[in-house]
Amino acid sequence: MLRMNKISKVFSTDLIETHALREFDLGVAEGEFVTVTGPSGSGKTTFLNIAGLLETFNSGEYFLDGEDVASLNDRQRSQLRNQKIGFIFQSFNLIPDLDLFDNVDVPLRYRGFSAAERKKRINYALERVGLAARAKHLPSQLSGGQQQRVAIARALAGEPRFLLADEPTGNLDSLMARQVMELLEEINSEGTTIVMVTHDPSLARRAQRNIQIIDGQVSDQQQLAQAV
Amino acid sequence: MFTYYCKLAWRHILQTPALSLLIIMAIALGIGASMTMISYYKAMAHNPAGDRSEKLHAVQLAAYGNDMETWGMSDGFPRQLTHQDVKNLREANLSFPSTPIYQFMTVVVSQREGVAPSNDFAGRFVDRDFFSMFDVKFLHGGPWSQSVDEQPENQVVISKALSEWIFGEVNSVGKTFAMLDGIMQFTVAGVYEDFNPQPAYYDLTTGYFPREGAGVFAPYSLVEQLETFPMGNISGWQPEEVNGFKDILKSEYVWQVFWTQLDNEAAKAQYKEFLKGYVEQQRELGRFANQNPRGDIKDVETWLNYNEVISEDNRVMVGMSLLFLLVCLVNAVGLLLAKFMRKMNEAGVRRALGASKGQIFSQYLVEVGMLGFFGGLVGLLLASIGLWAVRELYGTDIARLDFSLFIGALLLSLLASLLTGILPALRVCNSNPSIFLKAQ
Amino acid sequence: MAFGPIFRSTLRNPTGALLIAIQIALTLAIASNMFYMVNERVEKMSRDTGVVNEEVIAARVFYFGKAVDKAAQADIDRKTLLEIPGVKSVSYSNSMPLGGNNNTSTLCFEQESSDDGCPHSPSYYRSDANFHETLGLDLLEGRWLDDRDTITSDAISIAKTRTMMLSEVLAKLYFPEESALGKQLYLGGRELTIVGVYRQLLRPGARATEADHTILTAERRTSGYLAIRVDQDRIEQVKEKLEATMVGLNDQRVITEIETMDEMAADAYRRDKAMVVLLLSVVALLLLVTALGVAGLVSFTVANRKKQIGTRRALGASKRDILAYFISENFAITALALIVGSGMAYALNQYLLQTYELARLELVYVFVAAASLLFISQFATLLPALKASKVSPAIATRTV
Repeated sequence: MLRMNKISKVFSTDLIETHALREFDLGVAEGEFVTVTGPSGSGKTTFLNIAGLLETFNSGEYFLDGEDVASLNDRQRSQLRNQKIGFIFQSFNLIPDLDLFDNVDVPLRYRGFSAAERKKRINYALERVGLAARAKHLPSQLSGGQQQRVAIARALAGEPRFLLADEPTGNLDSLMARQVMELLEEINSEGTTIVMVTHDPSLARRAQRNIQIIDGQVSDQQQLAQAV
Repeated sequence: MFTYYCKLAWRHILQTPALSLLIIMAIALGIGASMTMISYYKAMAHNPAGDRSEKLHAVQLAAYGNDMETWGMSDGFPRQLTHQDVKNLREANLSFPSTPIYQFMTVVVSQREGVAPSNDFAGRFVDRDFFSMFDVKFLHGGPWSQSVDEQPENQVVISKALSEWIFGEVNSVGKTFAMLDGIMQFTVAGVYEDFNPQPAYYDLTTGYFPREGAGVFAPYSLVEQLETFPMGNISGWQPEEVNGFKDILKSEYVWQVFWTQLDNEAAKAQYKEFLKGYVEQQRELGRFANQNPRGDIKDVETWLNYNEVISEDNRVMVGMSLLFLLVCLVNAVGLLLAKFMRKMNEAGVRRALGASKGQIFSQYLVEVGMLGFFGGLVGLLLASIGLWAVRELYGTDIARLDFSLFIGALLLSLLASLLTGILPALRVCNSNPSIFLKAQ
Repeated sequence: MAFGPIFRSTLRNPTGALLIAIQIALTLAIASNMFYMVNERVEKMSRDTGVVNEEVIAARVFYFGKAVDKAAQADIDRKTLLEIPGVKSVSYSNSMPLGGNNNTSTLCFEQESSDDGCPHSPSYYRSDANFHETLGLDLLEGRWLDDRDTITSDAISIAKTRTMMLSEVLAKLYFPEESALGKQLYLGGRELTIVGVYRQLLRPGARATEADHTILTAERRTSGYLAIRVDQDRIEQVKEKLEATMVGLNDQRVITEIETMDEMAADAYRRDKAMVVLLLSVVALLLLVTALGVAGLVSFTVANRKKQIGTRRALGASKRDILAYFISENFAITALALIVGSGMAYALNQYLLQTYELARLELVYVFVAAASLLFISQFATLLPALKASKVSPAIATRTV
């Protein structure tokens, strides 16, 4: 599903160069659930941004679903992101001015679906996370856990094959965190590949494989469970 | 997608009402001020001759002695003509329609009860061709007959307003009334729909934008026998003693204008040739004793520019108002940046969810366009207030908003706002989305 | 507070500062030129007519109908009008300062006209001998024109008098070194002797330049302009009755344009006043827009730097320091913009100078405009800066 070979990413200012990723190698197979851990500043987020095509890299190769993304322009990358990748963030990043329905609608709009198709998908996605009844509510009217479920619904509505989650439970209490985690596992069990960055060792261990990033490189990989 | 962007833009405008209002007002003030001045300018730059503009020609002669090149206008011609020359041009009997014009003051006696004689209605001496050349619309009757141009008769053509003032009715054809000294009787040959083209291109020597048009037109053939002094500019290049009207007819003073209608290039060439011959002939008679005796014809458009109908003040104000618009737009750029910065996070989310830079850019440009559209609408309102003020200040009736200005204002504000929006929209779509996605 | 750190911080994120600077520079360039144009017009409108404006009424008299003895009628007019309480003096003239009917001619040293010999083209008044008294002119040298000078003439072209008076300005132009009294000059080819010099009398019309180049000649007049000097508190009554009185004396004439000098000035200066009003409105809007723009951009900066402000507060900066920080930052930006703007003001003036006949911008207008802009810009910064100073230091410790 994802193949990174010798990816390097350098942030440079006038004074210093920071190597966020150094000759980073990683492969994620179709249907895998991989967690990524590491100290802060180690390059986890950079990895996630590159994997999600939000950032470009300086050297190396990256194949997403067999496609070489280095040669793509912004429009093609956006299209690819829109069709194949779903994002889930620590701070949910729901658009505060839009109600749940319209929030889930956002990626579908860029997909160019018909109104009927969008409506069907939005309702399905909201039902899936148990919030269909609240479609007309604003995010601020929901609890943190509910908001994250909406964010997951939004990520799922376009039926991506690949889900990127950046500390999705970081802002949630443990009960809610468990619910969200269970939802992700359920989604994974249906075949969606998931890469999740987390600080929480107990969550990290629940995945099939855990990668530890230190100083912009994969320092340790643990096979935790059998791939489905 | 466009309707989606419109929906988002509208929502965003409602969410930041104060900032949006400021942006709309900044654009509106700029558009309002510049449209006011542009409309006024446009009204002044109007050529009322329409498709007759290229056919009607004002005739000029360098009719002076000595080295008086600097006496006339920039090209060495005086604006007006001497009576001698007008008489000669008139009697040359070329086949082209033509007319001399000069304005006179007159007292008109009303036949209505209790209305005192008035000199509010100015008159002009013209030939019959004037009415067709300058497209005067008759309501009743028509011009005096061709013979009156040769054999003078006390016939006149009067405006609807004057007819109502004298007789209390519009149709007064065939009736007589007292004019000039208040004793002499004149018969009405025709009544015309009030005629006051702006600018008054047919005779620019008595003001460019008169509030009232001519009230009465009298046959030019009457000039010598009526001895009516002109009301307007008289100038001369040498001192001459003038004790009566007969002297002024013989003098080298210039005080009349002469128009001729030349429909094509051949006619123009023919007329120029004629003028050349005329100048030669006059030179032999001892007139036109300057270095470069010559004649010239100018069509209406040229004539309006030549007379500098658009005032310098007006040009300056158009420039200043456009600079003001520029400041307003710089202002709007700042406010838009502020408005859009608050949306960086949302733009980042949208990017993550698959929007391309182009799509984000378009979304924000649509919002700017919408603000510009509202700004344009409010600007039009301000412009109509501004134009009202301009009309009051200058005491004129010209310069009103019309459909083309309406469309112009909206296009200008749309264009201006889109230009303004490019930088802020680029800022939003080019920012690195990942920064905004991290915990905020 | 040192400016160094402020500048570095501003330079790191220059967009807001740049926009403020552009706006202020442009505003200065435009406003100083506009102030200048306004002042030019105001000076023109407030120039001395030479007339006791508040006591003078003028009207135009136009005869028609059967021939009347106009000279006798003029005597009757004068006598009757002088009997009206408040009326002090009555005069007929061809024209009035700021009025219509302007006669101008070249004034030459020699009979033959040439460019060098005829340096100016003054307006000449052809009035009866009471004119100076009616208008309240001031005599500087020599004597007023009287019956000796007054001729009866039907001449339309030029007065046939032998004598004339010049305005002080004109006398100085022709005779800079000596008194003009007794000297001869040629007006329209006729030799006239200067018998007196008056302080000031404006031309007819509303010319911007050489407006005080005027000549007085005496002529027995019977129509044209009628000027009346009235006690100030009676002026409205006399004005109201004038038409009826005049037509009552003789109905073979029309009396129009009955106006006080102030009303004549309002007519004559209509375009100038319009220009002043328009320019001032645009300047006012311009300053308003600039003030709002500065306030908007500063609040935007404040919002962006909230965390930085909190950190500074947490590290010991007082509210005053924060306030001073933003005020000084704005001061620096504005000052720089004003320097650039002065250059632009001159560039714009240069363009106006070449394209239109505008005078050169004087430094004082740039100063006035710059000072007002500095004040406005600082004032506009105050509100958002106050808001910034109220940012809680606690904000720094929060991971918002």
